[in-house]
Order: sequence, then C-alpha cells, then structure tokens
Amino acid sequence: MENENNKTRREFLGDVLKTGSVAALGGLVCIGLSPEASRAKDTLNNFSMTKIDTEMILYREISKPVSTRFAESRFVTVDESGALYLAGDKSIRVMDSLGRIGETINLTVSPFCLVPGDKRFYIGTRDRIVITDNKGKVQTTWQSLGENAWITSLTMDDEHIYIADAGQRIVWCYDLKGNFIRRIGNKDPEKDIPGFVIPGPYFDLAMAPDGLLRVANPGRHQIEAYTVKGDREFAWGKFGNKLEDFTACCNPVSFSILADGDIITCEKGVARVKVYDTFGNLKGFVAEPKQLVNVSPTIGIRTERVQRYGFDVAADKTGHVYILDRARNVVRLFKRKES
Amino acid sequence: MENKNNEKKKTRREFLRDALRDASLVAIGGVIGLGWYRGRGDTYAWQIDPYKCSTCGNCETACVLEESAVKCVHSYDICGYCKICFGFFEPQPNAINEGAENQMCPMGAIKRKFVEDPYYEYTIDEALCTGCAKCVKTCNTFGNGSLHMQVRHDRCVNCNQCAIALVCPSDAFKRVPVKSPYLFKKGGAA
Repeated sequence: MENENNKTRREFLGDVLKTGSVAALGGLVCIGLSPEASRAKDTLNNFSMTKIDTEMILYREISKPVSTRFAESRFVTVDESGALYLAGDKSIRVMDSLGRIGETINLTVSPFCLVPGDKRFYIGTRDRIVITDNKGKVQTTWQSLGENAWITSLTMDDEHIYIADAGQRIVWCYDLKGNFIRRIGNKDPEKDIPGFVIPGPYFDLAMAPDGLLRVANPGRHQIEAYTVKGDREFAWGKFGNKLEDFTACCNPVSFSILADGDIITCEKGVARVKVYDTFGNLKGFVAEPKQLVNVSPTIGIRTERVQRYGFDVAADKTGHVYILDRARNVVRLFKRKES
Repeated sequence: MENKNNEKKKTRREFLRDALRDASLVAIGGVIGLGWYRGRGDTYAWQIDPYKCSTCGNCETACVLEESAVKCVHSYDICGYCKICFGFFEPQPNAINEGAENQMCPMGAIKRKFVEDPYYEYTIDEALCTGCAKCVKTCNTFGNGSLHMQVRHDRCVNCNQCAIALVCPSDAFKRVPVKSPYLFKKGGAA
C-alpha cells in the first residue's frame, strides 16, 4: 500500500506538468469564452455586420489588385464598350477588363469624376465641368457651379448631364451644350423630397436602365429614384445593424447599376460591397469586408484609411465589377460566380 | 606732456589683451543670454499631430498628471453634424438615442444637441473627458474625423520629456511654439 501511494520524483513532476497543462488550457478556454474577451474581439473590424455567409458572396476576384499608378485615385467608370476609365492626379488612365492599362491621357485639370461621351470626356473638376477631346485637350469649360461646389459624380442620358454637387447638396441638370435646365433634389416637403444630407465628400448618382435617375442620399442612408424632371418616385435603404442595412454616419458612399437594374453599393466604415435589386432587396455581396481591407488583429492606420475613404465602384455590361480602393490606389476586378 | 602721451599709448600686446578680454566677455554674455533664452522652458510646448495619432489610448494613462492633459477636441468645420455620429454612438447601437448603453464615450463626455432635421451638434465636456480616444477612433473610421486628440495647455505642465511622447507608438507628439500651441484639424476632403 505504501508503495502504491509513494510516487517517484519523476512521476510527481510528470503529474504536476500534466495538471498544470490541463489547468492552463481550461483557463484559456474560459478567457476565450468570457464576455470581456468577446468584447475585446469585437473590434472595429469584427462586427456581427461584417460576418457574412460565404454563400452570400456572389462574386470572385479574377486577378490581383491592379495599381492605378496615381498618387490620388478619385473615380472609376466604364463606357459602353467596356473600357475602364480611372481618374486621378491630373490624368485619366484607360484600362481593359483584365486590368491592363492601355493609355494615359494627361489633363491640365484635376479630375474629380468623369463621364466618357462621343470622342470626348465630360470631366467634373471641383466646381465646374470641363469638356476635353479624347486626347485630353480642353474644348470647353463651363461656368462654375458656385464657390461651395464640390462635384463628386456625373452621369448622362441622350440629352442631359447630371452633376452631383456634394458641397451644395444638389443635383444639377444641364443640357449637353452647357445650358442650365433644373436643380434636382431641393428640399420640398410638398413634393415629398426630403433633401440631400451629405456629411462628407461622397455623393454619387447614376442613370438606371428604367430611365430613372438614382441618387445616393448618404446622410439618410438611402438611394432615391428621380425622374429626369426632378420628381421623386421612390427611395429605399435605412440605417441599421443588419446585413441589408447601411451603417455608419453616411452610406452608401458610391454605387453602380448593372445592366439588369441591380445596384452595387459601397460603404465606408464597414467596407462592404453589396448587391441589391432595383427596389433595395439585398441579393448578396461582391466581397466581404475582410477581403477588402485585409482585416488584421491590430487595426493599422492603413486599414482605417481604407475604411474611412470608402471605395468607388463601376460595372460593365457583362457584369464585371471594378472596385477602386482610393486608400491603396488599386483597382480590384470581380466577376460573378457561376451558379 | 611726453609722460601724458606715454600714459595714453598702449603697446600692441596691451591692445590685443584688452581686445581678447572684451571679446571673451561678449562671448560669455552671449552664451549666458542664449542659455537663458532657450532655458526659459516656455518657448516650445508638446502637442499631438492629429494626422499621425493612431488613437492607441496611451494618452489616457501615460501622462504624469492624475487626469491626463490630453483631451478630445472637435473641429466643427469638418464635422458632418450627423444624426448618427459614430464618435457619439457605439458602432452597433441598440437604438439611436442618448442612452448610456448606446454611447461610445465611457464617461458620457460628448453632448448631443438637436439643431434641425437631421442635424445634431456634438460638444466635448472636457471636465469629463479622460483622453481615451475611443470616440476619435470611431469618428476617424466611420465619419469625417472631426474629433481628434490635443494636449490642453491649461492642464499640461510641459515636462522636459513628455511621458506620453515616450510611449506614443505613432510618434505623433512634437514640440510646437507656445505662440501657436495647437494643431487642430482643418477642413478638406476626408
């Protein structure tokens, strides 16, 4: 009996080591499960709203991110032929759908946004539209929209050009010769127009296949549909913590419309790129946040910049989606997954 | 007369000696004056470069003062006056109201005041602010970045070596002239 109770030093140390390891493991599990640890994990990059079922990710990235070669990338758009135009610094770069830069068009102005026309570019600078030929030579400069103008996006139909002015919180409608037609989105309770709330330099618009102008109203977390006459037809979107909602102070920061009328939105804060149908029902995601900001356990300034800047997005007729990362100065190319 | 002339005349050696003495006195005076000027201690003050600050939270705890000299300040000209400000609200608030559980600031130091639909004004109660920088982090990430950290010179004792600067991971602390001791964020795109 005595022999059974007595342990050698080796056995004793072995038991201590075993017990210690089990206790340490238990401690780690408890710490991991504790509310405090959960709270610590719930950093800015780990909200429940960033956790996305992989089945909801409808797109895949088809190549490595492509450098824009700009110090300051500002805008991305696609023309009818599928050519991609990147605006930044004092030039426009033309890229194909595989991300190959074909041409650089040098400008004498800093482009904030642009829309390619018939052998010409309508370029939005801070406060006015500049029209250049397809080599970047200035043809016409329109009059300034005002001292507080801050042009962030352009779109056009056959007769008009629509200008999103974040500084004055209004959409300007001009004809293609530069004649003022009307203002769209002025606050007017009688017409059920709440007015645009634009807390930052993000204010996007696009013409939809249904002929209605879609305008982001980021301060109200909505996308609004206007007729070309300026009547507000409907709006969708709300602030919230669910995946289908928009978060942060002011989202979406940019959007693009696919040929079938689906809308692709970009958000800042939580860097999400989502796909909605025409009436705002969430269909899925182009990419999840960790794909877009390279979420790391420690939040670096670079990651914060990506979150803060938001992205710009463009889509071509074939459904390719191009995301411009303004913080990293890269374009990311996505294609819809085969179902 | 000759004697008088002799008295006035200096030898070259005497002249050089006097010149050297005077020059030495001037140099010593200059050095002392410069030392005094530089040593006054109030020529430069410590300040945070808001564009370098990584909102690590060290300002709250590393200051030699019991209550940190670093506080959150607000640049109103870049604030969006948002209804849903993530400097004020938790990033996933339960509701959009002033309930303590919805607020980002653990001390309730940010006050929210309705201006007109949908705009709200946010002010910092510095007496409550501990300099934890939580609101600054979320304002930078989700909003326009109008909230930022600054050393408040009515509190700072201007140590020769700032204790916070020693532990600042982003090297955001710098010496600035006391005549313009603040580095406030200014307007422009985010």
